[in-house]
Amino acid sequence: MLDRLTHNRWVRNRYTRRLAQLARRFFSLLFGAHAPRADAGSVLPSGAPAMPLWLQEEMTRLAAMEPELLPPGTDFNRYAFYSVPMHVAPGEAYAELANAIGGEPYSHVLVIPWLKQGGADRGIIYHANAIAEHDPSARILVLTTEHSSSPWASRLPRQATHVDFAHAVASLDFNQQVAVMARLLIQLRSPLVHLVNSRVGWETVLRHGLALTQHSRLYASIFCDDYDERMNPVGYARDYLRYCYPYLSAVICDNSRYPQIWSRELGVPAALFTVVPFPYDGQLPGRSAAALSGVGADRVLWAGRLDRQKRPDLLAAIAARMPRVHFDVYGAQVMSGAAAQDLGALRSLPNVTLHGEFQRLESVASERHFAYLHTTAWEGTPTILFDVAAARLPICAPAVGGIVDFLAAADLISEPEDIDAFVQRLEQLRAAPALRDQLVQRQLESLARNRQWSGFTAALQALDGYLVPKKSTSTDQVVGYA
Amino acid sequence: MSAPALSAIVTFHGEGILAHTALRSYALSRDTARREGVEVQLVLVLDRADPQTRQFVMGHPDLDGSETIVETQVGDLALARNAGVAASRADYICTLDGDDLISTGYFLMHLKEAARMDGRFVLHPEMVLSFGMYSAYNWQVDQAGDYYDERALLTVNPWISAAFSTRELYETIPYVACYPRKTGFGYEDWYWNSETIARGVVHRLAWGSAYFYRRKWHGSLNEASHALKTVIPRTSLFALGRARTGGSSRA
Repeated sequence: MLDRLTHNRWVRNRYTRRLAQLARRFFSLLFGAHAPRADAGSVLPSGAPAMPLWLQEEMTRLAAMEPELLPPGTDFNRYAFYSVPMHVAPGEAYAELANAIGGEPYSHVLVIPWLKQGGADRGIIYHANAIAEHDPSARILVLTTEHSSSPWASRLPRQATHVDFAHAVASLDFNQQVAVMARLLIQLRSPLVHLVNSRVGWETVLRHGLALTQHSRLYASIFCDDYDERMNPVGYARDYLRYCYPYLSAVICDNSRYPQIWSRELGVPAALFTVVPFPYDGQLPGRSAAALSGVGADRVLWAGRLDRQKRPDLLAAIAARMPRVHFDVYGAQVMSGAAAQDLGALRSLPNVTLHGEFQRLESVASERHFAYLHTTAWEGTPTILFDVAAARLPICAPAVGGIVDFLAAADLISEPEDIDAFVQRLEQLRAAPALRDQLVQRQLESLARNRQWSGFTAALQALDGYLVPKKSTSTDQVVGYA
Repeated sequence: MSAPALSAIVTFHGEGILAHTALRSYALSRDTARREGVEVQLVLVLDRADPQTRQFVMGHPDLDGSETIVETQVGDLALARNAGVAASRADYICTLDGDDLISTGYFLMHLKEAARMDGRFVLHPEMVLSFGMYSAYNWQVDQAGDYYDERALLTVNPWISAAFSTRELYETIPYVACYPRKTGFGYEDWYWNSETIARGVVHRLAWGSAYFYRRKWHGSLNEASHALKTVIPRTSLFALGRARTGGSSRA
């Protein structure tokens, strides 16, 4: 039992070793000091193989010239059995991935969590399309690192190969997953690696960024912070940016607000950030189009994910102040705990209808809506606003995050919690069809001006080495045979 | 004096007085070999050695003039070892660190095992006894044994740096400098082991030999590599597209 406590494991530091020595001293007092060690070929009570006699004899011989081998008061029992770990699981996962990836080089590697319905996912596909469009011979490897399905992988261009990294490493702990990712990226030597919302990816850059930059340029996309229950900012920027930025060629952001915030609050050099606004990928109506809303429109549309970020409590408070207006609320409900009470409040209002999930904004926007209401606590750039603008609905939204890049400050609610201002603005829109038409016109102009596909690709083209990757120039040192 | 059967390359940099103990041990093993009629050439490589270390090596009482002293300014263990290989005269070569000890029959056991080997091989001492910061003993891994699995090399280096092989192999597959602070790559032994295995070399054990591995509290190269979170460079062993049958391959 004592050996199990003191010998079974590698004695890793001076404190555990001292503890082990104390335990053995106590054991010696009880059962007699310097009990002979088991013979060669035998096993210790712990089941570990005993130190062979020939090694004990060699040690005795050498102890005269090396005092640290058998210090006074100690014997062979101070040495614990250790066995070299032969963990095969990471190598097994790596082999599976290596087979899936193949031996042909890739020009671009995108390391992402998954590909499913969502704004960031839309952005990832935009990036892949821009790369493929610029160079049809590009080879794009898309590694998804979170254990979740990626139905949108089918939307990737034919130049892209999707490999489910998460599935291959599902049995590994996080550190092992990082080791596998590091080995893959080092073996790949892709001239460009682009990281989007992948924790395994960020951790790999944190630990091995210097090695990765020897042969790859590293880019990352971050869109905004998240906020915890105390409204402290959290997320990849907060967790990783301070220590990873020296390895990054650029951080791509879809809005201008957060680069300012991270530069101001974290000290990350402003020059690192490149703002690349996401494009609108739908059809634009004619610029002179009037608002969709009919003359007697008396309903408000709200569509989004019903979670803490989107502030359903504010929505409920606004709806409660406007009993003569009906609110059509669309979106998946992902609230839990205390936040779920906000949903309860929403449900209790007679002028609110919770319709559940929606697929396309155009199919739920109607002539009966005089406005689209967007409540939120924080944002990157909510691409749903592009869909709303294209659907010709007037937007009533707060000046939060990247929304300010899309709509003029005068058309936004300056304080995101100012219920009076929301109510006042909605009443104005309800009462004034001309105001609605003017606003819709400005929204469409903004879409046409800033959210064209050509603008997006031009911004990426201006990003040195992104569309046409260049070899990393961080060092001229070529290390290794391969 | 007969031609050496083995050249033992010992690299020194900043070992200080510990170089004295290491050389005593290596000279003792050389004496044991000599008693069996086997000559061992000690190739002592001083790479940017500090004055103290240089003094302990050059003035060591067990040196008898048969040693080859190589002074280099490469500042890298891999390149220092390669310089030692260039100065070696024997057909067999082994590498040792400048602050460790070896069992008295170390050289003889390696030569005896080498005589039994076919094909390209690397030998490592059968046992490692770690002393200093850690106190532990372990058997090293025989690539021909059941315990070995190639896939494990992704996350672990199964062998310590002490290695033995033919001069031809050391010349064909030299150590590669990693410059960890500049490149983030490191663990030149792990890398060399991976590259040799990928080229069909088999890592076996010299049975009955032991390496007494000084685990320093501070300042070891391994510690530096670990702190820098270095990784081995791109290696043929894990080449993408390399045929793998079940991920494991044994000798």
